[in-house]
Amino acid sequence: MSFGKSLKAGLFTDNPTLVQMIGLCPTLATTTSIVNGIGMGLSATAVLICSNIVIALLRKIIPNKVRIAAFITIIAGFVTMIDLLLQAFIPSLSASLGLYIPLIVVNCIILGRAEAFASKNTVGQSAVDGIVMGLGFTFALILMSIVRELLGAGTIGGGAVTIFSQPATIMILPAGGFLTLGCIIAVMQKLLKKGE
Amino acid sequence: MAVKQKNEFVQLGGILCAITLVVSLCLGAVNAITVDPIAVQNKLKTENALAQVMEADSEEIEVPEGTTVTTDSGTSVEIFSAYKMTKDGQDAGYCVEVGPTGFGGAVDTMVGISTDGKITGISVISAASETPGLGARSTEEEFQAQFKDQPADGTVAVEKDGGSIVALTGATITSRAVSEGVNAAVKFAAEQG
Amino acid sequence: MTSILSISLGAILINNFILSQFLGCCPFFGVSKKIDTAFGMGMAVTFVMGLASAVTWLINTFVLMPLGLGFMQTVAFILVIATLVQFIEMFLMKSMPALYQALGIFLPLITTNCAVLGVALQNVQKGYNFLESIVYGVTGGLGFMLAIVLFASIRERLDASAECPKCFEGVPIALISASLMAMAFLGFSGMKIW
Repeated sequence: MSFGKSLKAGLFTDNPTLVQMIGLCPTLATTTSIVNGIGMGLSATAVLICSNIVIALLRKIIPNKVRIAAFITIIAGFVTMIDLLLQAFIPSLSASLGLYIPLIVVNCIILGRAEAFASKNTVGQSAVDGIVMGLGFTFALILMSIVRELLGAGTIGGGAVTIFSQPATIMILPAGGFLTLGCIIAVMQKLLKKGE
Repeated sequence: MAVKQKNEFVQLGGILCAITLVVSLCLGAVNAITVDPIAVQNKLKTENALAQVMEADSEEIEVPEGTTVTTDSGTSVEIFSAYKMTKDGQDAGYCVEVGPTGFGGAVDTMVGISTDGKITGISVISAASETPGLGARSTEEEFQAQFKDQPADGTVAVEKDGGSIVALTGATITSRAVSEGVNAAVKFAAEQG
Repeated sequence: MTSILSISLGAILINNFILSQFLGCCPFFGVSKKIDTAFGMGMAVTFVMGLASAVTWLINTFVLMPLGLGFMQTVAFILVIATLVQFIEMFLMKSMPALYQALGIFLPLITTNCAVLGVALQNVQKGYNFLESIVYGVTGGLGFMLAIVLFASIRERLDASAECPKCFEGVPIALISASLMAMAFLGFSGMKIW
């Protein structure tokens, strides 16, 4: 599969969050502003690419019986590295994402891709898969956070531009998260049906 | 058969251990690189907060971990750290970092108290456990500015409780917590003499 | 005593794991089509969250902290949780086959349930002691169970009788129902035990 085609699949037709509907927790929890959304998306993408590469490298060494434990250990290692690096160099992002950074470990997208793709394919292919799936996840987060920030805080770009001053705060509360995701997935289902 | 099974166990265990070992070593290395920058960042955060609430030189007072102060209204507030402030060799008051309980956890707040019995300013260092868009807005300047020049006598309160602090929209609990934090800081500073 | 009470109340209603912290969303949407499976999942999660809170607290306090290995927390916790789930599965299979039949199929899913790792990390972050950690784990699980059972009963009716636009069928309408539930739970935020 060409890179362009995989990219289309990752971003759109096979988007991990909006179509496969996995990795919903961070999608709902961290999309209260676009800065958080992008930060979360890129952190998860970095972990996904690294873990995909390492797992593809080790796919012939890791015994089948203990593969899940081995995958989780490797993923947890990369997540901790990202966590420490963020704390050291981007402390504001680390503070606002908080608990959800270590929780990347249990993001189903990462373990899912390790199990379904990286453990069966070459290093190159797995790296590409990591990039497109990660970008698909990031894309979904950005979409969510733009809608929620605009409606819920009345701003665009992490408070950079104020559009209106009487926002519907409910949109950045948990209820608004579920509502936005529901509507986006509905639109997605409509578009995909049209495309068929 | 038994021997073969045992061998397999050893092999599986061995590979898992090896992976865990390599991961731990890598993490150790990353930790060694990041431990200093993280410490610097944390110190910077405190220093910035100090500079924001009072322009003076600070000298840290030792506060045992888990120290709490109970305010007049009966709220128990943890004291994180405290600083004796001096300006041009003159006593300028105290800065106290408190952690009153808000909606989702401690709201880390620095409070400045001058010698003439006024709040010189507050700085909410972290409200990460509060709801985004509601309590988390306590880090905004507009909310914090209200506390400047409030009397340091333990009567700071939100309007709903008969005070003069305008609570953040939809976040009375966080606003109340910050107010109680200020009162606790005042009480702690008074105990220092 | 008040702290135990306010932790429980907080974990079940005010800071509900799913509806206000978004922890454990995958099983929340995945296993909520029928009330009995939702109940089974809720039981299993409560059980594992309580046990995991206890074990990770012990490991953190007596192994990681004394050795200065705080940065290994995530790795250590997830391995402990994975092993724990495996042990529970083996134990139940051998000695309580009835319970195993009821909970067994949910157990493997729990390793990657972020509510379990989330509760372990939060116990450390909030500085809870041993008892408080267990209470937070168990009541957090009960909150999870409450939300998922309520949600499953809504979904059963939704599938049976509700009419909605074609593109909203399935997950989208479920998400919108969850949104309304979250809004209802928002009402609990005024409650507070001082």
